Amino acid sequence: MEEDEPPNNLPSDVTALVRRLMEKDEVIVRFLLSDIDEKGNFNDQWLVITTKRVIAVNPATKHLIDVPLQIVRSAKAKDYVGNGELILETVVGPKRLLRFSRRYVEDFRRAAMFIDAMANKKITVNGKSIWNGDYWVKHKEYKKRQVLRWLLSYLKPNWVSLALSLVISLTTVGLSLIPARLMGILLDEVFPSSSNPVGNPRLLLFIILGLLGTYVANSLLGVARSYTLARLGQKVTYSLRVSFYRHLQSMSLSFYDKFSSGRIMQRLISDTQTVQWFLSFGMQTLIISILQILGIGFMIFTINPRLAVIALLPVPVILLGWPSFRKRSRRLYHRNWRRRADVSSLLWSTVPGTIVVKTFVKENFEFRRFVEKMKDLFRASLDSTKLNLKFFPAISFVTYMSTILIWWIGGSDVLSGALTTGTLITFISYISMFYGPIQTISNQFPQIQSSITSAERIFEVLEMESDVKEMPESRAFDFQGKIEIENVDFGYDPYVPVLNNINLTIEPGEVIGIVGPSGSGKTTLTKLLMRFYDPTKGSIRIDGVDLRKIKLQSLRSQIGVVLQEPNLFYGSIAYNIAYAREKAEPEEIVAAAKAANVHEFAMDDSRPLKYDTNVGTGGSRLSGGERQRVAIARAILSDPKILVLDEATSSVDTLTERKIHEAMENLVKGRTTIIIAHRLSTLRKANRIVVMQDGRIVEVGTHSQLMKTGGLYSQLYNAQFEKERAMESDIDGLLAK
Amino acid sequence: MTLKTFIEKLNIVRPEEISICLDEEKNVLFLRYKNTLYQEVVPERPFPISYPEFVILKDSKGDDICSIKDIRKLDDKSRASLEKLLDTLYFIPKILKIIRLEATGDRFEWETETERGKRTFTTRGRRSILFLGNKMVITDTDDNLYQVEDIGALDEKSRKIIQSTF
Repeated sequence: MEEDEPPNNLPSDVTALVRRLMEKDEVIVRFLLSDIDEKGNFNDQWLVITTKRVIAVNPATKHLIDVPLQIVRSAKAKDYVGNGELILETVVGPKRLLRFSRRYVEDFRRAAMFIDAMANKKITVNGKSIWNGDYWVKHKEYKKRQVLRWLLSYLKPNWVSLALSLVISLTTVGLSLIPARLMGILLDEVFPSSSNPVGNPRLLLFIILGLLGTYVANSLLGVARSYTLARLGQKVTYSLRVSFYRHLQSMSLSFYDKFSSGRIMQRLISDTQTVQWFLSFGMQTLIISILQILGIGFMIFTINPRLAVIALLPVPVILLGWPSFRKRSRRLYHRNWRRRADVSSLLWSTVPGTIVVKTFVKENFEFRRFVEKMKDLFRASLDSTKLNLKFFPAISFVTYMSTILIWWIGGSDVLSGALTTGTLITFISYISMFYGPIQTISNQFPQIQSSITSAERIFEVLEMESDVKEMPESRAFDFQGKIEIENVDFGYDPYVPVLNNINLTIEPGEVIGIVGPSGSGKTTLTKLLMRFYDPTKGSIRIDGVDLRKIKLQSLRSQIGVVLQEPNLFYGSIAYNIAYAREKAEPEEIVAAAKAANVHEFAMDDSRPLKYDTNVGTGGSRLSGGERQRVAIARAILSDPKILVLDEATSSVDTLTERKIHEAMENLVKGRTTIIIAHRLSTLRKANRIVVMQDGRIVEVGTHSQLMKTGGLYSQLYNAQFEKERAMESDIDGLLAK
Repeated sequence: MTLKTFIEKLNIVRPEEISICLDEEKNVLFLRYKNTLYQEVVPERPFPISYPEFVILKDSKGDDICSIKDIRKLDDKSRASLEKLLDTLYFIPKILKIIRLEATGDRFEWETETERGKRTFTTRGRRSILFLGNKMVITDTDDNLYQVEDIGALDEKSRKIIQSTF
């Protein structure tokens, strides 16, 4: 996307227009290109900031807006749908300066901050203009490495077997050229002819033996070649899958937000398979075919250059048609890929969600949706078939025509005595061999194209970099558990802020409750603490060290998280509890399980395998409350310094809830804890309560302090209070029995 | 509270601190621990497959008395008593050899040789077979349990049968 790079030079027509406004000692400090003009069309418009004014210029229409810095109070880049606007707040009211598409939002945000700082004299420019490039956003550059070259890089470590298979291929191609030659000798020298009435019967035996030898060698080498190439392909696929999976694990959560699991899986499973087909089979055929074409081409020229030229007549036709065919074919195969991915995405979302589908009696709806997608896929596949049928038969036809020409001209030559019968027969059998590999390439082209498509898809993901990166100087250390959040802004989409100027300091061992309406940014804040995402502004520190300077492994292993909907994996209860620590001792598992109230249900008589009981995919054989408690046991076992509890919203029965609460209390003691609470009764034990609303912290204090002030917290509390009290007395009643 | 405090609550005993004796008639244990004699003690195995050596002892009321990390380290008499009772409470015979395994769709017919003799049984569904590391637990259609202690240690033929099926 090189067109996104901000320009480093101001065009001369813009400079000329701006110079007219500028005073003698005035200097251009910064400039920036927008892609929307004053009428709202896509055209160039420039923002120029000088030491004394801010100017919007359209060099095409000579449209100018000139605002002296003296009257500017503040500047702001406003977000709208699909575009934004730079607005200057001046002493005479707001001044709309220029619009820009979202491609440049980040740039103009910075520009606004810069103008703001200049207007408020936070920065002074000392009369020297500053090189523009350092300041504006560096848009990501995509390396345009050729996919094939990248695939070859995987072949590099296996060059020995690659070279071996090439040598074998070369030999087999050479061997395959022998029989036709022998046939020529047979016709011209062994059989009686006008010049040699007896013929040469003894030579026949040699020819037969030669033929036998050739075929034996060819079969043996064929096996060897297939084996080496297949092994090579499988090895490369293996390392491709491994590096792809490793790459996936290293990606930040924002990557998973963008790609559906179905599409990732398709890349990992079926794309790598298609690439393997290419590497172990497609490439093999391709190499052999090309070698054959070259070898036979050489042979026919040595036999008879005149006929050889005729034989090559179709080649220019093929070369001319090829590029446009490839372009269209590439587009079609990428569309096929997307449609196939649509189908698998659909399956990935509906099959695991069958219960929802059935609950809402949407079987027919889902079926129709599936059929629609399948029809799309069908049509797309048919389109590529049609394209192939337009191109390849045409090529075949042209080649047949040239064969007919050779029969005609060569035949006349034999009649006139310029050519022997044997030479013509040899030539014609070479020609049929010559078009063989071309046919093979044509036939396999669709598969080759689809594996190149797959390779490009894998490549696309491998080229992406994780948003959350470890700094080279990042380090690991043991946490005390002090958390400082300073001026933090964040948005999943950078321009839709979810968190706004968050400031909070949490002391070691302190229990903080976070409350607020849903969507107020509670969970997001904890995700930033785990560094699943980085804040867009501000910083988060643990024990005074910026998160970005802590090794991710060190950070996340010392923060325990119990999520609203805990994720359990296919495996036993013990496996799931010990997930945080591979080599957990049995007593550690039992101790954690007891503290989390897991022990009682794990040891239940209905579970003969006790802790070794399989929980099913996603923990489906446990109840919601049980899953929650397993997740708590997991956190207790990992013994984190900092704990994040996202209280379950899903309602469990009151007794289970009490069990979960007990478990949580066991977990919380002595750790820096952040509880995202949905039931306010959970918060009585919190040292401080943080109330969030619309991405901001609106209140902080203890329960009684907040109740006194009568803000949002007291409203929320009073609303829940009656319900809670009714429930509490229910439990006490039950327990008393 | 740290994990350590929770582990302390488990009361893990040293092997020499306890002695156990079997009450054959009631199928319970006598336990002497810290100068107290407990009667009608019942052992529990939290990890019958993955860590069978770990046992929790419970009193007649069902409260935990103590835990033994490795019952193989107990004195011979205690160990024999405990294992005899555990064998009744947790009857999961080890499969030594798989003679035949026939799969028809979801249904598996097993013909095996276990440490307790020959046994033929049927399982249904993928869920009836559980792999835990190198171990394998099989639940038959009548909820009987069998285990393969170490797939790698089976004879060649049995291993091949497992590998070609799962």
